[in-house]
Amino acid sequence: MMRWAAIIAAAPLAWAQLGGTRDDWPHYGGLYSAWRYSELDQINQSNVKRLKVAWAFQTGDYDGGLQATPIVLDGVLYLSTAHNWVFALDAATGKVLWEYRYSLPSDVTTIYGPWNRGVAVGHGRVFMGTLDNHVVALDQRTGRELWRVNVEDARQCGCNITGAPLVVKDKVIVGVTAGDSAHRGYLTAFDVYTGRLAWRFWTIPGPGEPGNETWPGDSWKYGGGSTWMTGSYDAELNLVYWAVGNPAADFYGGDRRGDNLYTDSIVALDADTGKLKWYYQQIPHDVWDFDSAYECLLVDLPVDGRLRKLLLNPSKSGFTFVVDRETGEFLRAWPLVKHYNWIQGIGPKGELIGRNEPELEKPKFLCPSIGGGRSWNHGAYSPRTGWYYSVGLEWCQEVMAVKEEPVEGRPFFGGTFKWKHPPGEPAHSHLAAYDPLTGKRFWSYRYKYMLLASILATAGDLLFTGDPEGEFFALDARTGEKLWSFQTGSGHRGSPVTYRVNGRQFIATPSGFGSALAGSLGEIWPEFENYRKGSTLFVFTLPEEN
Amino acid sequence: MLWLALLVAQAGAPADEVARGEKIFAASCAVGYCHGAGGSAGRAPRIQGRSFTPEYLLKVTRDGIPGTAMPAWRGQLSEEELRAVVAYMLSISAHPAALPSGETRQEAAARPMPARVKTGRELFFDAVRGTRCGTCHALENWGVAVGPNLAAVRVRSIEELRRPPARSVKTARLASSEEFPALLVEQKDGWVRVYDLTVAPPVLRTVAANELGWREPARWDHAAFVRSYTDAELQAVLDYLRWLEPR
Repeated sequence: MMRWAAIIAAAPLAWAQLGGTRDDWPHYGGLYSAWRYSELDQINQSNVKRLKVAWAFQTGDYDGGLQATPIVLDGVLYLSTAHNWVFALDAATGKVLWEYRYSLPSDVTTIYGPWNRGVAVGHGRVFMGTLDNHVVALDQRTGRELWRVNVEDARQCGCNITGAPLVVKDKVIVGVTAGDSAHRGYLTAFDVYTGRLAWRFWTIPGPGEPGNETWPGDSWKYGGGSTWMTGSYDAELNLVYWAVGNPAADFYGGDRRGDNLYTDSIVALDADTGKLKWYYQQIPHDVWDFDSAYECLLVDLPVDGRLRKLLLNPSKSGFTFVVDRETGEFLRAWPLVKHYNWIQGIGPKGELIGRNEPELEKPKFLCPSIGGGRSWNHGAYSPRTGWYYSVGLEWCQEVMAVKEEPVEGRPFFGGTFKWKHPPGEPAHSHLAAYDPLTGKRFWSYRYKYMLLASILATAGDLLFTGDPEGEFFALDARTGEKLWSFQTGSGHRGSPVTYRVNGRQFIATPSGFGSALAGSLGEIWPEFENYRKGSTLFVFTLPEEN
Repeated sequence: MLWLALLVAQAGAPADEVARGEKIFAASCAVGYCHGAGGSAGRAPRIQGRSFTPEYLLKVTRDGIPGTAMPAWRGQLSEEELRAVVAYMLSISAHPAALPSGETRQEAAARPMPARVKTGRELFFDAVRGTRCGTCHALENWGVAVGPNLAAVRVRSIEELRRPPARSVKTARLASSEEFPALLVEQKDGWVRVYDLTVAPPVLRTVAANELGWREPARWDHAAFVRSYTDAELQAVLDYLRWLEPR
């Protein structure tokens, strides 16, 4: 009992920090700053070759793969699976402390597929969003359900919750999918204790609200703007940052002429009220399905001689945008990929130069593909190197816009696409080290398929990630040299973390290939048509000294 | 599993019918390990939370299912009592899916629908309102079944839509002295599940039975949840509900 009291009392302190994690992995992105960087260095370049499996945990929930970021607090690891099962495991041994299986209705539908990217833990509760669009709160000690709320009828909205919630103060903030459906997106905050709705931010303004004029007619009702990943939080500014997805219909913009706020934008919201403080729209009137959905990495760096609070957000467009997180002022944008032709470039004020849009009823070759110049699998930032590490995906598509009438809650793509190799070389990916401000590339690790797992950076100057062939590996954070590798038996689509229990550092990675992208890699590489599914957490540590 | 109290009907005369049906169900259908208290399933199938058409329920209740333990109640219950029991069973359907006419949603959509009814349906499920009727009531396989099946309880006026009797809503009081308007859903193994109706969407909360007390009546204002609708809009919703009723 004392042990639990200590966790609950200590936890808010850990959340208030920006930067690197230590013993725990308290939040989806590590800490609120989403660096996915740990200060632990027991495992480092000199000994990484000696890593051994400490334990493995098979969830038994294979369809959809294992895509979560585990949360670790005081020696307990919390893991969620594709169909909303939650396990609390002893982080040193893998022993099950409790498990919870959410009962999904038999008629639950997902237009993409089933998966879950993680839980949030705080105030003695474990929070999860579900495939049928509920939020549940479990007792952190026992896994017993405390409350659940149906955010919106999933049968009507065609939406799910697959992203991890974010606990900020006494609220749990949850996004929603359905950005490629006829649906109006939102972000919702619930009271952690009672489950009561605290605030809602509609990502598409309603009539009479500023920004609604960027949507003609009724297009605002069906304009997408999903919030399918997890945001960040700056406690000092009391702002929650969330990246908003693409407008719908994805490829046909003729019925939504205008900027389509706040799609493809970073929004900064007051954490207590959900009121918009500022926004920065990366792609006005997106017709490429280039969500700004991924991590909002918060870092303070000098820009032109002045230390500024920055927010770095890579997007599906293949570009990384850097803005001032106090004001939303655009500072920089730089490409993660070589192959892009949807624009020629981005000007000094963030303006898109030379837009190359899909055409009605006529196929057009565009790069990157809607799979993204990067998928959602997150990058990492190491304060030791000062570099941002991210995957880039080099691939293209033939896309054709088609006029489509919206039907509430149903897919609303407004076109079709077919994946293609880029000009002059086969599709491939790379994991590279970048200057976060300029995008200058220091090294690059090339891979013949698509890297679709998140990156973990540590103070041991190591990067950990996995590939679709099942290898989980470590790179030298300074050179990109591969130092260690372990075959887990199924591809990687989740997010590794690290933590320390009783003085020992552990590295944990989900293994288990799945997702919409995983399922369609076979379009380019036939060997992926029947990829091996899986859902296992592998946990590594150094052998005990004799 | 013991289902204690369920979503009881709200309107005047039809509510009486549902209440009468509840008594008959408790005495005739829930007993003997059959359908369980509140239709929560015993040896016989669960009624609560499933989707039936009134026609099917009436036929099975009246004629029984040959070759099974389901008896024919014709002769034992009057026609009026049979209808009351069916009205009750419809009121406890958590997903009152099919239209009372037995049509699917697609078939119903193909049926000529007066413009006002169509408007009423759109308003009932109006997604761009934070809170709409469908936030707490399900019809035609859409919406969330917390409150009663409004096609079965025969709401007669927009005033009833605003301020239904809502007799099953009570004030829950927790050991922490927190109080909130609540609907009892389930009691099991020392735990109680209640819908917290303080704000929309309702929250299904699980609390220890020994930490929960009840007070009547509830201080709860259904009209607050309906306030985004004008009189004319509520009239259209009413027209939609009437269109769904068995004819």
